[in-house]
Amino acid sequence: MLKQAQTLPVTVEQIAVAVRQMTRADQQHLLDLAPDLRRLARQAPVRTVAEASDNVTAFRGKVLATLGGQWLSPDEPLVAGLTLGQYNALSDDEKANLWDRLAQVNLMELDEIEVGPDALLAR
Amino acid sequence: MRCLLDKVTARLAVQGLLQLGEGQALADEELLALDLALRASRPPHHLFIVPPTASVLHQFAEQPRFSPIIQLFLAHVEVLRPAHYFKRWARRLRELGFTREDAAVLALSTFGTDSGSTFLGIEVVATYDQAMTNNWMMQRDKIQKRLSAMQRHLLAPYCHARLPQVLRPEQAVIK
Repeated sequence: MLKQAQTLPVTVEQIAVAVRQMTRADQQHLLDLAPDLRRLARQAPVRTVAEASDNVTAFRGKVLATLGGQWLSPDEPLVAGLTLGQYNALSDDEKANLWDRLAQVNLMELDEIEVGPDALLAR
Repeated sequence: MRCLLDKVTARLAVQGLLQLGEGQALADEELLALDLALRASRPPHHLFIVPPTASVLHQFAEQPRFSPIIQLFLAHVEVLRPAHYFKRWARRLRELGFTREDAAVLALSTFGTDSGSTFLGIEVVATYDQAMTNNWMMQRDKIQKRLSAMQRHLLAPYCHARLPQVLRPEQAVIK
């Protein structure tokens, strides 16, 4: 169930009805007044798990070929004294901590590179 | 389009790759992270990781059995390097409440380049860090003002550097 707006004596559903009854110009004005709405709309998922699964499954053959046609075994040593099976059994926080420990690079200590005026800019 | 996987998203993509290598099913976040890695590394797009991720992956690759699969991932990505003004911008972002690591990743996305210095900045940061994403979204206007204020004193191309979109992997549009 949607939460009631905390500072207004109306529900979110009532606001939605009002928005649907607005003119296009008023809806545009609302977006200008509440730009977070526009940002939220842009952040809607564009990729489903099913679509991702199709894409990744198609890549499985290349992975297997890379491994010489033999699946990885959970008993194989991976990193930091852990086998693949032991790594997989770690919680997400434990995996994150392990990566932090292995990273050994502080971005703030790296040298900055000079970029020329003709470099491509982000669009 | 240039897309950066933050450390967690890169880790999830690599874990997905290892799961594939075991013939196992992937968790949803691993699946979506690996899917983005595959989509965003196809020409004309470019996929990037941060230097700490590259450091971890090189250690994974020391095991002969895992080396081919890690090299396969590394063949799809480039390492984003700090360009001039990266540190200054990271300090400004710290003042806006971002953690040290988040500020560094976000600053790198605006003032980052490749080893050949062919570009400045990337368009998308893919992350599952909801706290960072929320802070970015809520303060986007203030962040833009801080960047513009800093850029008034910079020469090209730095004065034209832009803020990225900060998105979950499944939200990234790759055309």
